[in-house]
Amino acid sequence: MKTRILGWVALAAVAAAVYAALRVVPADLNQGDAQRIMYVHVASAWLGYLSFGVTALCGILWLWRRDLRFDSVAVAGAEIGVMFTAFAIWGGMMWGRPVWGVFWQWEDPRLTTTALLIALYVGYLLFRRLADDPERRATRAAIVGIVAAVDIPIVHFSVEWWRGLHQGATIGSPERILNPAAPAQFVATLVGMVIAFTLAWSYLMIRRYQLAQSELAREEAARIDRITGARTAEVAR
Amino acid sequence: MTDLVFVAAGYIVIIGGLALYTVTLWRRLRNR
Repeated sequence: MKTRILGWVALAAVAAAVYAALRVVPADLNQGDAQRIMYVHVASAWLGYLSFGVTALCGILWLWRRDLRFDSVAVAGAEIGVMFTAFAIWGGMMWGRPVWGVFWQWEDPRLTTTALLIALYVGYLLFRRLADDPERRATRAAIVGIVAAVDIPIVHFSVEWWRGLHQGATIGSPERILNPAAPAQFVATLVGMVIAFTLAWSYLMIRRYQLAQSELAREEAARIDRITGARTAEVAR
Repeated sequence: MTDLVFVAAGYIVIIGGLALYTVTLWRRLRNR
């Protein structure tokens, strides 16, 4: 029931934030209407980081506590993280074409490390399908998830470490957080979109976790069935 | 004006994708 309420609140928040981004905030003086894409692009990128961070953290917790619930959260984080990172890339491309003149540039470190990040977690999801035993799968996936997370800080700081097309932080750095490089109205809309998307993310994480738990229970029941069936066959012989 | 095509493409894919994933997840859970 609480999750359902969260879902409705998230839906209302996303609708309000999208309305503000498309209808309330004025077009940017230099970037024009293309600037409106920034709100969903930045919110999606943040949730990509958060999701993969959760996957890595739950991988560590699984290795430490051996509780399969952590593995269920980890797979939810990876799947939802891939989706949000794909949204961030798509939004960035739709913004890049009118503002930079190109959809994509492989020489840019932020773009290339983000492409690597999504490839790593798509690999994580594919890798999970290789093992049938839930515990073995969780252990292998945890290692991949932890190693892949090394790319998260590289993506984030790539704009400061190397030169490229992508601009530096607008609000997301210690010196920018109290002195953002954008007008207050734009920053407020961005923060609103980030909150709305984070609510939607929380709802999806809970639902995906529930699905993973239910898949696990079904897998376990099928395994017990197979063992019981084999024993019955043996006794009958 | 051309910028609006990119804005529309950006929002349709992102918000539409979010909605599609939510509905798919919800249906998969309901069918279990």
